[in-house]
Amino acid sequence: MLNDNAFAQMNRLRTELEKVFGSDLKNYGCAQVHPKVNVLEDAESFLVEAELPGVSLEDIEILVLEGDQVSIKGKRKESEVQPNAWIRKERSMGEFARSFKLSCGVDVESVKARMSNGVLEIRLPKAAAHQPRKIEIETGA
Amino acid sequence: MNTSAVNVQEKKMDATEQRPKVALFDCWQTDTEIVLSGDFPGVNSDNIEIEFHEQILTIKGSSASDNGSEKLVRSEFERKSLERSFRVHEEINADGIEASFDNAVLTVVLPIVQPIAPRRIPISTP
Repeated sequence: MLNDNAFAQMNRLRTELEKVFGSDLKNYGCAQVHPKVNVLEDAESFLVEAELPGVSLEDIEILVLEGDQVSIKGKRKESEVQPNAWIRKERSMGEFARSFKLSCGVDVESVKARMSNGVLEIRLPKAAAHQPRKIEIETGA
Repeated sequence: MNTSAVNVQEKKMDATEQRPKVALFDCWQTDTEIVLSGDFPGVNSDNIEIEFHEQILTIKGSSASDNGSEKLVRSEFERKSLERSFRVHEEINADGIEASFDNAVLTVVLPIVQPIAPRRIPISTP
């Protein structure tokens, strides 16, 4: 019978294996979030990157909700292969959706998206209220 | 003995730091060819190398990791090199291997060497 100790041992074993084989091990045998997303931030804007190889921009829908939530939806078309011809199938196909909240509001009108070598890049400039503001220093009369 | 132990440690550190990601592939086979289709997000077609040697197909795609001065607030993938190799059990016509790259998807077609079909020899009568 499995007890807490058995799970602790399994976790320890996994940690040791990850040390040897790297974090790629995490990607085997368990359900994956798809697409994988990175969010980068600087003073003026956010950059959302999503790994979407084989997906064209026309098949992706990007929504900005309530000024600070980004949602990416779309579909990756299945290849037309005879079912009995498969040797190996590792890639995620079909519909995908991700959404997440940014730390502040963005200027919805200025959001731009492009596809670069299978990575979707969405540039979201921060709303004026969250942009850095240069304060003019008055000189004494 | 101490020296060899140090060497082993160095090798191990290199392996973890520069270990490329595993490229994900779909593969299928027909009577005449094996097709491998793999994802190489973030990799430019100029930076893909394919080699077929002693029945092993090796594919490497290098990618530059450059996030500039921006702060990473959510990180689910790394922009680093992708690699994969496959042992092929069929006899392949290596000169006929073709590869194409479209929107970060690499497709490699390996033509299977076809057995020579038995031929019936007609006997000519005088």
